[in-house]
Amino acid sequence: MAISTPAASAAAVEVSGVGRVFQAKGGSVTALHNIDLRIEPGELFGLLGPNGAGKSTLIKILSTLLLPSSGSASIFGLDVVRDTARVRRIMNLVAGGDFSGYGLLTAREQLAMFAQFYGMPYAEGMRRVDAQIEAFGITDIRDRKISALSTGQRQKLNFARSFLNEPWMLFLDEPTIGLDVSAARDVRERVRAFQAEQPGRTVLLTTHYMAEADEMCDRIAIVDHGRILAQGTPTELKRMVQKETLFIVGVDELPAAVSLGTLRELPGVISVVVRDADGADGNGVGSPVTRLAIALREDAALGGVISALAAAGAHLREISKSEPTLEEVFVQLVGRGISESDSEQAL
Amino acid sequence: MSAAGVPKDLHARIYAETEWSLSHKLRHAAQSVVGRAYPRIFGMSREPSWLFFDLVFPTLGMCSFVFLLRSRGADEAWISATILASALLTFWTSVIWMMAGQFRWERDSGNMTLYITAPVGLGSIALGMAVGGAVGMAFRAGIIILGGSLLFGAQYEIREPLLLALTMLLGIAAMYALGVCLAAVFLVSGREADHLGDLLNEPMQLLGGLFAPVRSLGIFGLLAIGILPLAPAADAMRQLAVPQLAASGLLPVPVELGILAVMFVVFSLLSHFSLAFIERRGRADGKLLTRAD
Repeated sequence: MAISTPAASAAAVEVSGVGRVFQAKGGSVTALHNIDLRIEPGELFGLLGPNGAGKSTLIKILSTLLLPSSGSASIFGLDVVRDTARVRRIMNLVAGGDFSGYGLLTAREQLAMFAQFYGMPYAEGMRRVDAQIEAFGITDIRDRKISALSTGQRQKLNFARSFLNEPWMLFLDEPTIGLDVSAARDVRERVRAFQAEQPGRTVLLTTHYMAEADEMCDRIAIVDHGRILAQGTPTELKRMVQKETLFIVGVDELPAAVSLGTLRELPGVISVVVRDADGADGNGVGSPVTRLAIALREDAALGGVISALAAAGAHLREISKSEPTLEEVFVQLVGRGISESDSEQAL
Repeated sequence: MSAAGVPKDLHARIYAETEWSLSHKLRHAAQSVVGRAYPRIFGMSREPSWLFFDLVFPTLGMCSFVFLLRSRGADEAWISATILASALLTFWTSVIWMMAGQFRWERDSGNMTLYITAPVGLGSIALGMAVGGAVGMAFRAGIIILGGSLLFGAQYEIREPLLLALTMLLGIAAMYALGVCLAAVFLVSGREADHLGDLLNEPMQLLGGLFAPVRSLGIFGLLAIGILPLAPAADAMRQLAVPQLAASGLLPVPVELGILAVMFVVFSLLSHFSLAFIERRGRADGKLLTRAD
């Protein structure tokens, strides 16, 4: 059946009322409850949640591996149930801990095999294979058998495979699980570079690494028990648990001309307290510094505080913004930490 | 929210990329078959132990039959027939071990997830598996025939080489088409199917008439010829390559060729439907095609 060109306003990912129920021996298990989600072209969107939250189920539905029990979902306007073949031509998937492929093939042969599956002409496929090997810095293993590769090398190869068809929609399901810090950083950098090469490329990432989500994602949805509890930019989510903005301002010493009470009376200032008085490096080494913890209604109020300190003769030594972590956001929304959630899951 | 720099014609470009012409689809299908056949043809030859097992064990099996026949004073023509049967057995073993159980291995290794999410049909993957398996086994079968013939001084009298080649080709094609059906059945049935496959290995060789003519099996021989590609293929090849044994054939060669052709078509159709079924069921139940986490 012919379909029409999707509207230019179509989202990269549009999920409407998607639910998924699995049949199990003890009855049915609802993995997703009526999920609504919209991801714009070019976004790197994160699904953050503990094991069993429903993140992978949603990715499986969007990547055409699984049918939804209810609702609808589309990728760039193409329905994942009706337009399956078309969706598969513009997407790719990387799953963490994936050791797929054939151990007897070399890394280059494996990529060449997948290039055939992705439908590009042979010569173009081989050009892309060599380009990805170069981009991921794995030229030293290109002629090594897959069975002889380390976990990190195999995952880099897996990423290289997923970039071969230059997908508009890339699904990353816990992609850095089991990787060491250096390898995880490498693949995160490649993902960002991949998006920057062609505006419009969209990435949906599932992870339960808070720092990874915070660092990489434009927006995040926190998922638990098959429901989206909140979504927004990392900053917006953090604002949900901390209404005010907290700055740490370090000065040589607090001049006598300015008291904490004076600072508290400035517009936009909620509170000012001396956090600590210590050495410059925080360990008592170097010239002393006095740190003030200043809570503001909004960032703009900081200007007045700095001016007041400068007018009183204080020498500004440092300034930093203190934000709640995503972990704190998660705890507030879910009611438990992500590691606790995983432990419960394991039980 | 929209990321900066996203081109205005993005959706039109993406949609154009999803439009594949018929020639694109055909080229892609052919490339996918070659891509999947590659590991079987070239990858397997990199594992010396596999070569050893694939060649030495079938050869040992063949030798035991030859010594048994000689000890019973059988006509030397049966030695030639046994060598041919051993060559055919390598294909059958490959169908049982490398086709029937393959999809489950692909699922458990995570490959199936990548196949399903790629724009490649399972039919192309299965055909690639079959072509790769058949080509890889042809090399081994050739060595078995050559080595066995030299070792035991077997002789053949091939009057119709094209017909013999056609019989082999149709026999192998029908066997691998059955292999694709079995791959789907084994995937759905789980390990029980593996055990059943193991249990049926010897009876299949008997019913296939590899080392004794199916004619001697009476009604079971007819039944075997009707459902098991091994049986008409072995029976026809024996008649064509060892004319002294033509009288032991159950049916005339053209009839057996016809049966093989019908089997190929029927098993191919069944394969098509069974692959569509497992993809549909896998997407519905969420377990059949993806590795358990």
